[in-house]
Parts: sequence; structure tokens; C-alpha cells
Amino acid sequence: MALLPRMRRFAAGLARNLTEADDLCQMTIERALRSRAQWQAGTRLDSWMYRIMRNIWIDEGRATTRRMQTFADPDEGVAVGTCGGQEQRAELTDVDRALAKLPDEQREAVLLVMVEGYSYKEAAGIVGCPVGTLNSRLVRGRDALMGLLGEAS
Amino acid sequence: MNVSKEMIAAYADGELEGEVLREVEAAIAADPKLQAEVDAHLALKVRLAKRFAPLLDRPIPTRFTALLAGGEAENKVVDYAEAVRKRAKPSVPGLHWRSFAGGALAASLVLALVAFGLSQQSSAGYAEGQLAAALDSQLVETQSPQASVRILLSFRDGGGRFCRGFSSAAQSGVACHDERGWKLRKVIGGQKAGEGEYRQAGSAEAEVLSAIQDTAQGTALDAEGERNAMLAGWRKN
Repeated sequence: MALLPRMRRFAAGLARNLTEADDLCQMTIERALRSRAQWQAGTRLDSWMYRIMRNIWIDEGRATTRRMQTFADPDEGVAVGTCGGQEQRAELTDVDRALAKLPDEQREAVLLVMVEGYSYKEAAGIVGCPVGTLNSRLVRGRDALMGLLGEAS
Repeated sequence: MNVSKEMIAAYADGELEGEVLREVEAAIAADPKLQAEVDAHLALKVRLAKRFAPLLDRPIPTRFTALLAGGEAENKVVDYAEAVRKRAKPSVPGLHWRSFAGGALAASLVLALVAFGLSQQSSAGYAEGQLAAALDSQLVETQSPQASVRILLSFRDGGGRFCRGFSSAAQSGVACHDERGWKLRKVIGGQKAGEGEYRQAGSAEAEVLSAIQDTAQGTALDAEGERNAMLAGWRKN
């Protein structure tokens, strides 16, 4: 349960819609409880949960996400932010929109490393790709984000 | 040295070390453009953090806590003492755990999962934790298809003891009941499914079944025989 806030954050980044994110969270918990025997004591529980979440997201979430076409609802952004000044409200949706434009593989790389703070190796383990691949996805995602957000200037 | 974008990102994320780190550091120090790239990377990180940090503070919906508590109740999270007590005196499954779960809302998923992970291991050749609970109280006829330990079948060995073949992701085998509990007769090592992989237990189950053929006396128990054996605490007389 200590992991729940972080899982919900990751889900929110993947799903781009808080309702859908929480559904994703719920499915993750259910699947984790069901297959907990496969979790190896001594390995990181959080990485394991993230991997499960990511798999579910790929299996089920993506189709729904595509259908929705809308990015995070600005109103939800307000509900999320504890201090919701006008300026911050705009900032929230900017970042959301930019993230939503990234290809899935780049977005998850950015989320895992830059938001969740995983090492490249851990993130690559979660995604199931070589470290070098993760590194280049991250860079492409980061560059795209900077371009979208005007961060590069 | 030619510093790639990947290297800059890795540097900003603290991924470089040793020789490479020193070289990249030197290159950055010598080139304001590279330094600007590092700064941009860090600025983006801050911006993302600002966006995502508030998400951590949201109150947790009760459906999640209920789910976790429910999972615990349903699957009988047991500490070691509880497992021993259970073995000594077969209890009505679930009943005790409902009351436990009430207070267990505070128990973390981490703890729950650690308990499950550890409970898969056995010491001194006896089943413990989740496996022991399944052997004690799970009937072939009524078990959930999603149960993490599946009972394959129940039978008596040459000495009249009740034995049960089981299969789970962690281990499969045969256990027979004696005065101490479920003695593991045969254990076929953990199917070390990679994390996040879901593998069928087919081959291990076949091995268990052939082990059962070697041990079994007479035929497998039918549903009624199995239920009666359970109600009698799996005692052989």
C-alpha cells in the first residue's frame, strides 16, 4: 500500500486520464495479488508492480486510450494540483499534452527515468529492452518534449 | 571526445561513472553548448516533477484499500505463528481472517507480498504459509481456478497417510500429512518464471503426477472422500 501513490502516478502518466489510470491501478493490484507467488523475494517489488502495470496497459489500456483522443481533462488537472493557480493550470495541461504526443515507448522511458527516478538499468528491466535502447528512447522523448514545451531555448 | 546526446542525458541522470564520466565532465566544462544541454535536461526533469508530484498526495480511493484487504482475507495472509496454529488445529478457512483483515487495512501491500513470497519457502521439509493453508483447506472440487496454489489430487500413501499433489508458480510436488503437518515428499523446483511472465505449470504437473503414481496406494480420493479427510484434519485413521 505504500506503493499505491507512486503506482497511481505512473498510471496517470501512462493513461493520461485519471479515471482510466485508476482502473489500470486496480487491474494491476488484482493481477499482482493473483500472481504474487511469481514475485521473487529480494527483488524490487516496485519494479515488479510497474512491469505488471505496463503489461496490462499494453494489453488493455492502449485501445481505450486511443479511442479517447482527449488528453488529460483540464478540470482533472485542477483537482489534482493542491494549489491551483491559473498559471499552474496552464502548465499542467502543457506538460500533459506534450507527453501525450510522444510515442508510447518514449513516454514510458521518460516517465520511468525522469519522473519515477529509476536508473536506466532498472527502467530497461521494467520495459524489457536493452539499456542502450532505453537511453536512446529517453533522449528522443526528451528532445521531443523540449521542442513541444519550448524548453530547449 | 565526441559527446552524444545519449551521453549527456546519462550524465544528467547520474548514470555515468569512471573514465567515461570524467571525459564527459571535461567535455561539458569545455563547451557551454553541452552545459546548456545538461541544464535543459535538468529543467525538464524539474518541470515533470512539478507536474507529477501533486499526484502523490491524492487520497487513496477506498476501492484500492478494500481490494488489498480483500485479497489478504481471501488468501489468508498468515504469519508464522498463525501457520503453526493452523496446522495444529484446522480452522474454518476465512472466518478468522475476516476479523484480521479489518485491522489489516493499515498493512502495506509490501508487507503482504513479502509475507506471501516468504511463505512459499519451506523449512525442515514441511509446507508452510500459503502452501500449508492450501493443503489444509483447499478442495480440488471447489478451488478457485485462480488460486496461486492448485491442488492436483488427494490420495493415501502405503502407510495410509493422506497425501496431496500440488502445483504453484513457486513449486510443485507431493506433501503427506503427519503429526507435524504437511511433510513435503517431493518438490519439483520453482518454475522460475521471469518476473511479469506467466508460465503454465504443465511439465511440473506431469512430473508430480508420475511421483504420485509411485506413492499412491489405491485410487485418488473423490470429492466426498477429500472433504471427509479435510474435516477429519487429514488424520490417517
